[in-house]
Amino acid sequence: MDEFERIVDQTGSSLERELISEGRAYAGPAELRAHTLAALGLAGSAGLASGSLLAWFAHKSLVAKLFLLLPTITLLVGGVVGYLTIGKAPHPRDVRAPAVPPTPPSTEAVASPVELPGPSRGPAPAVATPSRARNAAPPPGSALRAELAALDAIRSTLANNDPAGALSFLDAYFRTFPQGRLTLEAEVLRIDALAQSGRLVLAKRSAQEFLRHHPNSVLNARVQPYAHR
Amino acid sequence: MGGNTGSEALMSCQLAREAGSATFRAGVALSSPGPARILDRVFGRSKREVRLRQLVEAHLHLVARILRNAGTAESDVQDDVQRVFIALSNRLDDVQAGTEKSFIIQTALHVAAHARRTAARRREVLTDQVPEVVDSAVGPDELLHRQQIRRTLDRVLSEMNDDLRSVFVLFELEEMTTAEIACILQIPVGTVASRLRRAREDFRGRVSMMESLANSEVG
Repeated sequence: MDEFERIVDQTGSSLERELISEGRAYAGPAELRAHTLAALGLAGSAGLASGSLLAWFAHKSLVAKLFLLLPTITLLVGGVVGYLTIGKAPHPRDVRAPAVPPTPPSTEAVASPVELPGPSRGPAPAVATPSRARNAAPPPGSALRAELAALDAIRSTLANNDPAGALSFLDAYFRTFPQGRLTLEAEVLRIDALAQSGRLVLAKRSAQEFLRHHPNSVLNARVQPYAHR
Repeated sequence: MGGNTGSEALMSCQLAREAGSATFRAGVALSSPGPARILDRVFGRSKREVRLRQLVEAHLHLVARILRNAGTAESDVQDDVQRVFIALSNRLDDVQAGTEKSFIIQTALHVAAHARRTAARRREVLTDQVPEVVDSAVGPDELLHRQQIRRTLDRVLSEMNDDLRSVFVLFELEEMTTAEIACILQIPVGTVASRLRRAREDFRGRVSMMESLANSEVG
């Protein structure tokens, strides 16, 4: 219990209350969350989406959770039953070929906002993207989302010890987003990738150049260790 | 208020920390149910990364608000929010569970003080133009009025002494209790109370002066 009454609860001047309300209502600039997560290297779009979905899910009642999970459980049970049934079915070689050949998978379905070249090894990271949206005008905010997805893919590739793949992705990122809003983060990732691939001299030079061009960047702490190696 | 001893202040701080720790644990339990942990494992996120992400989600707007109200210019808020969380990231292993909010607020106040000093130096060379805040949801008159209110608040707060401003911002704008403020600023509760009284007198004096000036201009 606090013995002080707050100014907004008192019968003071309306200007006083208005000033306090203004101070309380400040919400920060747009895209603050995305930029902060990117600066911390946490800008996984998949993670962000799953995080918010799970937070929403966590607040549901037990009955609602069971109801929401029902399709998933049905699919899982169906999968197990299907697997057991196929196990008992005749060998695929004995099954007659269909009269109509199967259609090849659509290339649009795997289209990416960034034209990512194939990595040198390891699985290609999933980059969330709406298919058939390539030729349509991007909705507002989708460019930043695409950038975040691309950086997430690059980060995953680096985490999978594939610096060469990450460098290829970075080249694609800079080609796709020459005026991108997260290019500084991408530059830091390039330095990470160079160092991880053993090109320490180049990593050091890039880090020193980064510090020279961006002396006040909040990302300097991540680059400095390379510059002083 | 008055006769709070040091040990009482320490005890209230300890209680606040324990409460904070319980809140943090509750927050983790709420935002990290079983499936979330499974997903974290699938996406290869470390516990540290999950903790940092949760802290960003929980305190992002608090940090932005404290920075802005404690003297950071609108144009610098984004960079300074990142500075606060990068500092948290660098020290995360040293920050005990339940004391994160305290650490974050202390860092934000420190960063804002640095921003004020830098801005004061910059004003000697550049102009002291207030950046325009664009908000498409409100009409031009309302926008203009809110900009004026924001400028007035900035002026009143910027003229306040640093120690008074911190207490004022945490109590009046963040609606924290005096015990919580004592814990964060690491000062006795009695000191918080006396600073708050002085800060309010200062605030009220400046606001009433502005009001009488405005009335005399109208009259």
